[in-house]
Amino acid sequence: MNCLFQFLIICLYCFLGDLLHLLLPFPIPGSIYGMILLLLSLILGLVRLEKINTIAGFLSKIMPVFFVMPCVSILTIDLSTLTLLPHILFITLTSTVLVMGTTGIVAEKIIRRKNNEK
Amino acid sequence: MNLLLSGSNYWGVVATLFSYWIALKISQKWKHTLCNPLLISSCIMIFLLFFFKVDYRTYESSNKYLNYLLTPATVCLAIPMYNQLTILKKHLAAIFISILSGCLTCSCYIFILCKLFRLPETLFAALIPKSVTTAIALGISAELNGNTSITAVMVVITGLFGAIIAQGLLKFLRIFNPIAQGLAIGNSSHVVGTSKALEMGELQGAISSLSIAVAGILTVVLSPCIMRLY
Repeated sequence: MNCLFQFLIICLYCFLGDLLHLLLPFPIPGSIYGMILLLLSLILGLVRLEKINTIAGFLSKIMPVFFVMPCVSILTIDLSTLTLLPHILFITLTSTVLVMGTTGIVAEKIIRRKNNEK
Repeated sequence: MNLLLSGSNYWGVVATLFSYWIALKISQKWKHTLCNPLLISSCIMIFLLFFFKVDYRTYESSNKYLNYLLTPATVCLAIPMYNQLTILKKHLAAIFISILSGCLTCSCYIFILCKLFRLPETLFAALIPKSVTTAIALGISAELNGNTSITAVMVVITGLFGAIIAQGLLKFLRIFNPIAQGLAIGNSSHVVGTSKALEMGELQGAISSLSIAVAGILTVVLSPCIMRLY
């Protein structure tokens, strides 16, 4: 009963997210709308964390399993994409370094300035 | 084999869960960053498909019901964010500005390189969200008509690579503040990086898991804008 209600609430937010996705013109996935709605509801106290904790914990724990199929789908890429793979890998690896560096340096500067003001 | 299996809706689920279970056992035994359960289980799954000569389409049609749960799981990402709300409020400026600048630099860099290499639009759309967590990245990629298989694989590679270089790079750039470290790792290499950040310290881990959601939301908003320019 308890689990059923928890699942109902979570699916309700998926549905609300889908509705927003259909009604609003922005290219934002329904699951993200649902996530933001759930966050706002938690902050505003509309939904209490205990009310969804069990099912939400279960879903978060098994989430990586859902990504096996998208990874395996690499088998279906066509030849033209395959020849571009070195480029794609180069972009992926170098941009990871860039993002980590930029974020870290900017954050470090902001925090240092904040500490100096004190 | 294809004909026999295409009649069942469950073999794909069983095979996926089984390969992930084995992968978890392996990663628990060898605690190395490269022993990532998702990476191992995908390899096992690819091997199984090859070994039994099963077509990917057959696998997909039998496994798609499991992936029906991805949306509710993504919605539940709100909970870790809610749990870190006090940290978010305390360091609001640092978190938002640094993650935004990280996302912007990344998008511009990918934009320039994709133009330079003359990559098609579907690949550009697949690469923009590669630094955010898979659930959000797949959503963005699909929304922009990107190649989702490339997105999924590149997100995993980004995570692994980020987790491996994190300590060395942060030391080299003299980023010693735990909050800045957490932000840098979470924004660049999402969940895989967060487990590395947790090894470095509890605060790093918390900040890192928070920045996954923040980076995800910012990227969702940013990527359609930059997509329009391409």
